[in-house]
Parts: sequence; C-alpha cells; structure tokens
Amino acid sequence: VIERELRDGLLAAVSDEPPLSFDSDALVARARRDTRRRRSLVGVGVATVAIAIAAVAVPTVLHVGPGSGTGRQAVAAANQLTSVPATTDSGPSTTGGPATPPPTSTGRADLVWPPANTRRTVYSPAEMASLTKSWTKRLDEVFSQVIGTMASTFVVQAWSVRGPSDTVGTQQAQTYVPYFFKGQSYAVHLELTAPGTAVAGPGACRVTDGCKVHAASGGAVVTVQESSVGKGMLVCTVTDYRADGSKVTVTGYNWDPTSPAMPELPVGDPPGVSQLTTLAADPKLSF
Amino acid sequence: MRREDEDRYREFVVAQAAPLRRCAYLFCGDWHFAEDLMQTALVKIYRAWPKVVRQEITGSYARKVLLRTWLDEKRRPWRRSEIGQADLPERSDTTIEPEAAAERSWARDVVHRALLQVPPRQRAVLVLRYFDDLSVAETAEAMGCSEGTVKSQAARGLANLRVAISRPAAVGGQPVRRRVAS
Repeated sequence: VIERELRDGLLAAVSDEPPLSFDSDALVARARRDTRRRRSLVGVGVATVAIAIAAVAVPTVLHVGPGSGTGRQAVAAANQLTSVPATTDSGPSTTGGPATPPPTSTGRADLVWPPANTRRTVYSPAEMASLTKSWTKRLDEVFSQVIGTMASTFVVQAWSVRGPSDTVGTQQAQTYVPYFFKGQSYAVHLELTAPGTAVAGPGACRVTDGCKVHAASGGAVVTVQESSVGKGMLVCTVTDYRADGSKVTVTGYNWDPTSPAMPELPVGDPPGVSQLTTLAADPKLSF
Repeated sequence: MRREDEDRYREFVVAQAAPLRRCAYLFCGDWHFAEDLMQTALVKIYRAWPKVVRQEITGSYARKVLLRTWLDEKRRPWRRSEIGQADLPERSDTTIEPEAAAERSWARDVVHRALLQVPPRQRAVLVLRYFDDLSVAETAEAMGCSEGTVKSQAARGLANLRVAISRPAAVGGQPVRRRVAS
C-alpha cells in the first residue's frame, strides 16, 4: 500500500459519514456536571484521607503528651540527654539554680520529679567513700532490728555514671545485704541516688506494673512495687523519693539473689513492705 | 470557567467535533462508538480547557485525548471482541454513479477493514499521519512517545496493512473475527 492509496482509502472510509446530531449546549452542560461530580469525588476522597490520618495521628499525639505513659518515657529519655553545666569535682558543690534534669510533670503535684527546690550536689570520690562508710555502719546498726540477722559482712559501693554530654551523671551507691531468716539465706538490695541525679521519678510508677504510690511525711513519696519474676519468685521494691531530690530504693526477695545457685522451690517469704519502707525511709541513710 | 473561555470552548467544539469523530471512526470502525469517544474526549478537554487555551495546544491535545480515550475504552471488558456470524445486507446508494460507488466501496471496505486488523497503536499512527496529516513530531506528541517510535510504528503499521489487504478472508465477505467497536 503506498501512502497516497492509504490517504485515499481513509478519506473514502469516512465519506459515508452520518450527519452529526450534536448539541454543543448539551455537551457543555454535561461537561459542567461531570466536572462538578469529579470535584465532589476528589473532595470526598481528600476528606476521607484527612479523617483517616487524623484518626490515627490525634490519639498518637495526645498519647505522647505529658502525663501519659509514653509521654513519661519520652520525657525521661529527653532528660537523659539533658546537658548539665560543668561543675567542679574538687568538693561538694551546689548549683545555683534548680537541679537538672527539669521537673517531670506527671499530672500530680506530688509526683513532679525532681522536686522544684532540688539542688544538685556533686560529690568527689573521697566524699563518696566517706559516705559509703557511714551507710555501711548505719546498716550494721539497723538491719538486724528491721529485717533480720546479717549473714556476712558487706560493703556499700558507690560510683558515678556519666552521660554523653553530662559532666556529672548519676551518683549512686548500692549493696546487697545477705541475712538469715528461719534458717534460710536471703538478701536485700539497697541503692541510694544523689539529689538531682535520678532520672526516673515516682511518675514512672504504674499500676499496671503492680506499683502503688504513697505519700510520706516531709514531702517524700514512697512507691511500692510487688512483682513476680518466675515461678513463686517474688520481688518487692520500695523507693523513697525524698524532698531533697535523692532517692533510696530497697528491694526484698523471697530467695537469695546473691547465691549463684537457683532457688529451691518452694521459696521462702520476702520481707514485708513495712520492713522495707522503714529501711528506705531511714533518715541516716541519706546523702 | 470564565465566560470568554467557555465561548472559546464552544467554538472549538463546533469546529472540531466532526474531524474528531472521523478520526475516532478510523480508530474504532463504528460511527456510534466514534461519537461517544468524541463526546467523552470533549468533556475531558473541558476540564483542562483554561490550561489548554493558555498553552495554545488545542489541536494536538484534542487528538491526544481522543487517542487516550479510545485506548482506555478498548481496555474495558465489555468492549472485547465478538464473533460476527453474518454480513449486514448491502444497501444501494443512489447518490453516486455505480462505477464511482464501486471504487469507493473497494477503497472503503478494503483499506478500512484492513486497517482494523492492524494493532491499535500502529493504527493510531497511520490515522494521525495519513488522515489527520500530522507531522512526525505532532504525532509523537499526541501519542506520548518519541519520534523514532512514531516512524517505526508507521513502518510496521504499513507492513501489517499490506499483509491484511493481501488476506482475502480478512477483508472479504466471509464471516471473520471482527472487532466490534475496536
């Protein structure tokens, strides 16, 4: 087929064209209607997508707000990254302003952590060593009265943990105190955290985790958390959040956590909440 | 749409409706379907009319929309082919001389029916190049492809057209697989 024949053939093919029964006004009306319908459809689609996004995003955003569980975690994480002004390690020093990290709002005034008037104190290694001696001595005096007969000697150990941009970090001291009760060995764990260096406050205590918050005298807040970590193995943790921004945590077990051997079942009784609270709230176990 | 734009659109519709329908008929081989395609294409053009007028691309854009509309319609399941079992009765045409009528009938029947055997995009190239007299560049723009593709499709389309014409069964009177509104 040469091109000319093709052109002729195509022209001939449309030569018997029927008359065009075509109304331009009707076409314009149809086009307008079609355009309106299309816009409505697009509008409905956009609105649906917006509603779907809002339905997902709004609860998420609200959940992350202060006072919610996720919010507390976010604030705690932010607090971990909070930089602290450089301070000297030459001796006890107190920063001029409020302690860092900034207070964590948990919706209750008594759960704000650290307390507004907390002054962060930095202890030198020599001062921490002196403090640990006094705590060891104090525990020697009160432990047998409150919990039971100590099984062996123990030493309170202290250390400081520094964050990536934190010149001070967390200053803590801790020890396990082994003891005998009804012929069976147990241990209590004790941990002291310096004022203004504890990141997690009482707001982190959740009922769903078996934790309860109690108000204590002198503006302190005590949290008690009882949980099971295995078959019959109970842990009871009492934390005394003190008004000066320090905290003392005492953890009791119904077995001996310092023993390398697994506890034999059935295990014994953990120390009572009142015993642990007495120890945690001891005024001489403080910085 | 502004009043003056709509007036220009009306003028465009009046001027282009018939050429677009002819072009659509050569694409699909059915005058009723061609009219549907033309009207659908014009409605689509109405939506983009202000932009089309600004860019002064009405002619090539109209062909492009028509071609897209036809290819889209071809993909719809209810547009698939069916088997023709009988020929339509021939009607006498008293308006022309018998000899001219015979020649026209040959040209119409042979060339157009053979054209309908050519694959759609090659058919579109042949119609745009040899019926609408678009240049290679304009055809490429209407089809949304390169000029080289237009040339190769045109060459293949002509080759396929020759083959289709040389097959009597394809263009003759016997029952053949015929695309309705293809």
